[in-house]
Amino acid sequence: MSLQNNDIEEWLLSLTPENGLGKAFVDYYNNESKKNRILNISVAKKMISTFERVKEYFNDSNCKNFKIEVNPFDDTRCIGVITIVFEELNLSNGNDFKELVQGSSYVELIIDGVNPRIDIGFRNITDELK
Amino acid sequence: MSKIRSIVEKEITNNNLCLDNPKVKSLLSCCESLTNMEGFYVEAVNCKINNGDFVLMIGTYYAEIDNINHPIYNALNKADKIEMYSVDKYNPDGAMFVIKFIFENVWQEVQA
Repeated sequence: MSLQNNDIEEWLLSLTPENGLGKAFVDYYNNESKKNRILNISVAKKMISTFERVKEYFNDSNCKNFKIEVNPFDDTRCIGVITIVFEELNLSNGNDFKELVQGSSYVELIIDGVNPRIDIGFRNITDELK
Repeated sequence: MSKIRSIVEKEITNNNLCLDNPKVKSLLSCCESLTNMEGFYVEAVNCKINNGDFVLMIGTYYAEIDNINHPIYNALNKADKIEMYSVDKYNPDGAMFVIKFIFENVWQEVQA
């Protein structure tokens, strides 16, 4: 797939019916200033599926006051990050956590201020446009 | 012996838990997985038996789990339940990220 493929926008939006992360990806395409870089579709797909999985898990759980933030592109490091901020995270077993972050490049457990957060990172979310 | 394992073994001994107890074996295996993990800095360790459950808590300020095969997943998978949250009581300078590993019904396992 390439940037010029018009099907990409429709495909990304179809993956996120509420236009959450998919909308962010489409905005990326439409941003003229960033056309020197190309989205890595396979990494983006992993990030979207992880985003949907995390959202579904937390909506179904009894975790307190969680919120999910998305930074689809860090152009400096070419990393996309899904951040989960929570007061308390309960998992029925270790596999839950492993499945949640499946497909990511790394996971960071971070204390930043009052609430802990988990950053789920996706390296090489963008590549140089050749 | 690692710091984590020595603290856990002390609690096992104090509570007369048998090393052949399957839950204790899982607990000790969890300790092994938690030891010497790259990018994962265990700052505090605590454990106790609460209502028949063995609870192992580790505290960290920052941890990076760099791939899906990281040993932390082996540790997480040994426990029956996992809880993560922040606490400040262990550290006067600020909050700490705590992972609580819960091994349920260790007494029941002993009786069985």
